Amino acid sequence: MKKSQISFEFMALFTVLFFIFIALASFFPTSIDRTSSTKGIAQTLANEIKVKAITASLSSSDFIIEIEIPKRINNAKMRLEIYAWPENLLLIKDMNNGEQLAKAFLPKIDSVILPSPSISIKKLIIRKDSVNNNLSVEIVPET
Amino acid sequence: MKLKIRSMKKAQVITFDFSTSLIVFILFMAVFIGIFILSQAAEKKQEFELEYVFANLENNLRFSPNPGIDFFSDYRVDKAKLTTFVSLIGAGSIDDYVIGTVGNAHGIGLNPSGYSTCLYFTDNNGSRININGITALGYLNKRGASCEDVFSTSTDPCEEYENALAIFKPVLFDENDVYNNRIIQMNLVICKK
Repeated sequence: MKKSQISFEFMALFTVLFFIFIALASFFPTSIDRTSSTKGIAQTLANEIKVKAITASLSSSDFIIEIEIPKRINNAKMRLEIYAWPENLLLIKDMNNGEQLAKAFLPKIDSVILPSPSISIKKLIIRKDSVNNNLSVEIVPET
Repeated sequence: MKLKIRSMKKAQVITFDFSTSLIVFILFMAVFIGIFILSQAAEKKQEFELEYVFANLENNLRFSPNPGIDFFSDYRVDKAKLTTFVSLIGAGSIDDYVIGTVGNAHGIGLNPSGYSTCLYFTDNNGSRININGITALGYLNKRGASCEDVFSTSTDPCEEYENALAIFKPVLFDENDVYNNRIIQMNLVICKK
């Protein structure tokens, strides 16, 4: 067998594998990107809610703010879970498979008004009652 | 027989070529995935909640069960109340006041156990203002020393910590004397564990 023949076989095999690699490489970032963008958007929303909660927490007068919640992020239907003190935690999950998309620790939340977990959410209301020094969060469902 | 040996040799060469290609392919793939993951890993940023530490300190001082220590309000620092606060804290930690929650305050959603903070005031000439014999408030847990002691060694206060942040705010230092009241700088050093 000639050396050039070995080299040709090597090149042929490597080319086949290289094409497989290119095919995989073109698919790989797309799927990763979609997941990371969903989680990224969810985390941005979680941070936005946290900033509003901090603003309410530090307010020395009555404070109320409504935050519109998108129904979906990419293909994920969203579910918000908020836990009052002592957890003071916000979780954004995919309603379809329960996967956690984002998490944020909130200021000390005195009370949370939650609808049924299966109902779509329309908005979130954060209230600070300065007289009673009470910070509450209400999740308003779609009507 | 000769033909059989020749074909076996050829098969061996092909297998060798194939495994070489496979190894090269796997290496190529590993390098690609490694670079991709590395490029995806965003540079770790400072938590945005730390922007609110001055407001959190002010709020916590307001809700503290200890009376007369709310020395900081808007852009004004009351020297008499600051002296009371310094007497209360001494060489102890101020992490609860800066990062955490005191009394009935609601905080900013950060856990003070993950941070050590130092608070000090500087005059126009850059020197630290002495309040009741102390020029820097706070305690650095990882170094096992007060901010005052660490500052006196002129070393980086956060050198044993993972991350550091220094922020400042210009404030009016109210000495209850119109001729001595002046603008000073309120400084916070936050070391993240």
